[in-house]
Amino acid sequence: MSRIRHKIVALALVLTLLPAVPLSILTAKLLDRSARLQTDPALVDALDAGIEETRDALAREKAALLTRIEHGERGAGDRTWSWSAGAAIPDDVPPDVRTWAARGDETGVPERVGALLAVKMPATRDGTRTVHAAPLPPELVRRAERIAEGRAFLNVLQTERGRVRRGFFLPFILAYATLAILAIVTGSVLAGRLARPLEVLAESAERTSLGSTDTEVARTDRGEVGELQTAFNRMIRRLAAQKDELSRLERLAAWREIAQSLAHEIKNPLTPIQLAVQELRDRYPGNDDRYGALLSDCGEIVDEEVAALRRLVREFSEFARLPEPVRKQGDPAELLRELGKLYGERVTVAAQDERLAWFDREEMKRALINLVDNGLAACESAGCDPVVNLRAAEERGMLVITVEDHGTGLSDDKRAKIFEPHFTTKTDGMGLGLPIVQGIVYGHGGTIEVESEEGVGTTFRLLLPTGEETG
Amino acid sequence: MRRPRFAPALFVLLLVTGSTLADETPDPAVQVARSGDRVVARFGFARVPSETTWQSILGGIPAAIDITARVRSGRRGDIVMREERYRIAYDLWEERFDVAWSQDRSRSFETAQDLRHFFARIAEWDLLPLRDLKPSVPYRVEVAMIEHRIAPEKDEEWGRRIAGDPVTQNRDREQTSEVSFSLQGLIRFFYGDVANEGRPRVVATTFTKEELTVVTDSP
Repeated sequence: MSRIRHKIVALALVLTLLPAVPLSILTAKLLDRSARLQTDPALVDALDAGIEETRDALAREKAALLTRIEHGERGAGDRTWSWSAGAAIPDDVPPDVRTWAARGDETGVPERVGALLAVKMPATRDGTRTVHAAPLPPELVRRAERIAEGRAFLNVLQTERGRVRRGFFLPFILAYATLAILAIVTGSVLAGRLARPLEVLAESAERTSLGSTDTEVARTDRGEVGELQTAFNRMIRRLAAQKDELSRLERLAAWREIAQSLAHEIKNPLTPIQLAVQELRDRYPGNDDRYGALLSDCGEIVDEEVAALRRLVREFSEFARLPEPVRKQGDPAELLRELGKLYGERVTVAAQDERLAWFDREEMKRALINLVDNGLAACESAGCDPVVNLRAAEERGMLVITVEDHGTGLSDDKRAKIFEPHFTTKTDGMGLGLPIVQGIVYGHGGTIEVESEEGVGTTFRLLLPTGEETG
Repeated sequence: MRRPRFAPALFVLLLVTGSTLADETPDPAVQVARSGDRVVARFGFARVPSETTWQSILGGIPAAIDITARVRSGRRGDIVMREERYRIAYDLWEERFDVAWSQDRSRSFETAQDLRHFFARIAEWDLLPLRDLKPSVPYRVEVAMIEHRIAPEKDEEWGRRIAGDPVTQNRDREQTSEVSFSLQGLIRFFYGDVANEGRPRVVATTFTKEELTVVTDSP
């Protein structure tokens, strides 16, 4: 069953990773295209042209400074510092100009020092050194810096293309890997939730196949799996009921066979016994009163016992030969009322009129008489008024006949065995009455329910199909 | 171990021919000497900056050279360590190479050859007072050089720009390896840095206090 789990996880992973290949190719191509746009030759040319232009502007500024120095003129912001040979550079010289002035030759050529143009004039004969400086137009400096920064950044994009690609591509891969892990985890959880109930069902089905009927599973899901679990449990319950029924029928068949054999074996010698005793009585001349009295007593005893054995044989025969019911449409209320008349005050009847149902009148009467007799006997045993209540009603398409008494009631143990042949709570019964009742009800395609409480009473509910079909 | 007597001559010869021997030139050995009451080191590195870095510099991308000098004793480990970062930038308007180090020191060079000469013989580095050396104890001086094709602070700045992070204006900000879990942080993280592209080049020698020669001229 774990294969299902593996398959679901693998499917989730494949569905996640499948788009990764085309997406990766597409992303790589887009990155390349983007990089090419960033380093378009036209853009590079434009920046280079900007550099050339600012170089020209700087050259013009340098030429103008030299011209001013040559003509002894001073522009706005022009500064000049002079100091003797061996003396320190004046303090008011800006730091970057000071650093610049301290190194290199006095070329007389202007150089850019930060935002200034500065020129170190050749030393005079007495060793005096002079530095002229003029501020560069701020706009020129700013433009030059921005162009330089732009050109350098463009070069970085070109030279570091691999790193740029890695910087954009790996987060994509990382995000995808995270998604893949999430897919595996989610798939695994879902697979577990789906596969586990199926595994339990499979185990239960396996145990059921080995004969166990204690294999119902807990409902763990509200969806299709839950419905499957419910259907499985229903199937198990039906299987268990069928198994019980089969077992019961097997036992019943065995009992009927025994009953039939006993009836046959007992019935045959009864008539010769009775005839033999009759012969003894008839041949007696009557000359001995005491012997005559003894013979008469013995004859009566034999007659009584033979009669008892004949009843036993009849019961056995009835039990062994329960006929198939001949169902006809009739009014169960009428049947109950007939029983009411038969039993007089000992039976109360409550039934709705003209609720027609299909049943074998004679068989059903026999079953109800059996139940009423049992109920009255229970009442007598309990010492209460011998009254049995009969009711007939229709519930959910079924004819329900209720036989209720307030007699001794049954313990749980006894209640579980009352339909077993040869089980009886009476001293004079054969224990075949209730199995016969059950056989009649089952023959109608119905079921029989028993509710009983010791000291309170017993209620039998005969549930019979109302239609022509037995279901 | 005593140094060969011809070592200084070889050192000078290498310095002179360094620029013309191009990439086949080995790094010259480090020389340790005494200058007054100080111990100084002379060293240099050939082929610095490398051709790749050179092309990058010409494109306006500032480079950096990190040099670290250590004096070690077998007994005491590192006695002194001194490090310096040389920032190399090309001035697109003046068409010159500016090298700046130690906050306020700088040099400008007109040609690549001049620049390489500078790194082939870096001026004396003051290492430690002479009195810190014990007699007859062997010491080892190691000078390591790492070339950054892109100066780390600019690399950091441009990395942030590429990632879409606000670019800091703080020039003193050191390169960081912190990982942010924003998209920009991830891009920046995977963009990485170019700080240590190659293995550091190391020149080293051993000496004792008694072996130190006296420096009379400064390069």
